Amino acid sequence: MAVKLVVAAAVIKLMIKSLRNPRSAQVAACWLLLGCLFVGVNLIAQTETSSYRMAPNKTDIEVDLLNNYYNQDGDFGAPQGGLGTEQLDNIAGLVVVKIPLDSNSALTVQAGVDHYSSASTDRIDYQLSTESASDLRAYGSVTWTERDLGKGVTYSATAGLSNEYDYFSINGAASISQEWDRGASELSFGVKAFIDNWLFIAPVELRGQEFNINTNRRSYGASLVYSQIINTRLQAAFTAELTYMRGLLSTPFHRIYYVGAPLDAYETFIPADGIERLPDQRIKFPVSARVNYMLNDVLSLRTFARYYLDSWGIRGLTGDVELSYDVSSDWSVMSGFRYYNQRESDYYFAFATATVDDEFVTSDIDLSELNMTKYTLGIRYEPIVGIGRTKFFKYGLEWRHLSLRGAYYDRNPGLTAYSATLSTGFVLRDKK
Amino acid sequence: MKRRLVKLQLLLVAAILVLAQACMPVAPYQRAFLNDEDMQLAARKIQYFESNIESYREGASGANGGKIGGGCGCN
Repeated sequence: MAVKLVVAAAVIKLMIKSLRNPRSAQVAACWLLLGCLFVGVNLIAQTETSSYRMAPNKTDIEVDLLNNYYNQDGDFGAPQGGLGTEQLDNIAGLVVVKIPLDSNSALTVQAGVDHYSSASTDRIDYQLSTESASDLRAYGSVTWTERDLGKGVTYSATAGLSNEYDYFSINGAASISQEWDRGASELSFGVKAFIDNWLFIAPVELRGQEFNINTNRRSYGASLVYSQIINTRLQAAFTAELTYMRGLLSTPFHRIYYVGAPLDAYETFIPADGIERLPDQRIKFPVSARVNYMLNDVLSLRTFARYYLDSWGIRGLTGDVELSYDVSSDWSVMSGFRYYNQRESDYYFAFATATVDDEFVTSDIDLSELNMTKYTLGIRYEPIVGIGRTKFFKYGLEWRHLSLRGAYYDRNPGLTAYSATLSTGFVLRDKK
Repeated sequence: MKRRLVKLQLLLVAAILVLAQACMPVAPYQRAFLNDEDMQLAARKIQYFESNIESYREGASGANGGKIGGGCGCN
């Protein structure tokens, strides 16, 4: 207890120091240090060295398949200078395979493809239904996880890549987690890096101009997650993340029209005054809390809240509540509501409100002041004995579950969207 | 804004400290509810694409899983 009081004092001292000069990086660094201190002390203070061991890996290979259809329509397309259609369709598929190597280690392989048709990227040039109207993104990753069951420690490392026509990304991540109090508390610390490269594509009418742009983008992140069982029905997790990005952080084919441009500038082929210009560095700092509560045997409540700030002036607040009801032992339904509010970036200018004197300028509505509400409804069928069984080479294949989830988005200003996801899962058991 | 940030941070610290102190010991065999799929302390697998959409359509991202596969998010 005395140790915890000392930590609490250190925490308050750190907070006061950081708040005297609350720049994003300092606040973020303070939070990360704070988390380390708090959990570190819990670890030191832990005296219980019981015979508790983490549960070993199951021997089954788990396969999850997810498919999604997404459609949106809005009025503020960034390639047209911040005014025009945002119509977009996206079809996506994802396969996740978790292969246990032994009782301690496992390999998770993930591969996905997205195909989108976008009316706004179609307007990078003046002819419709050209190559820029659609694109395919393929991505994959491999994660290796190793656990020390006796010490309650989990290590993981991930390597991945992603490719689309004008963008290539290589990424890596590593994390370490420590649980204690017989698995009631856990601290996880992770780092990640994205090494990305753009293919520079300017709006068609500006392609003769010289743009002195470095097409690389680098993102580095660190995260700290503390999760805690509070009682037999309640548990919570707190997350702090710090991301540093540098390089080309603007989108080269987003047009900018200066004050005085007519509303139909794109439709009447008036050349844009420039392309989006944003700083070559950005620091993001989200903190979140997730609290889940089992109300009774069949009803559970999931809540999530996040506060976000970054060095471009965006402040975002997210609240998410979801209620899940087990209709029977096989069927459950879930319904949720999410609200997101965002203060605009310092560099956002609505269509034709920027001037030539503005050093950094974007008319991308995603960086403006906005509210987004989301309503979700889902259903899951997961019989205790599985949906079906068959033989698959030397394995027994069991079809575990089938889920369907729909989401409806309403953004103010001017965008509506919906998403439908079908998810199913299998396990493969070695029959030996 | 600074004052709001101060209050928010202090509130979060207080909440973490209070919750940590308020925890009761829960033995592994008492965790039937906590091990339920709906109680997992992460976004659901089926939310993967929604998280991706939100990281594209909103200025804020992170602290919630989100996209892992890179990508410009420019569509």
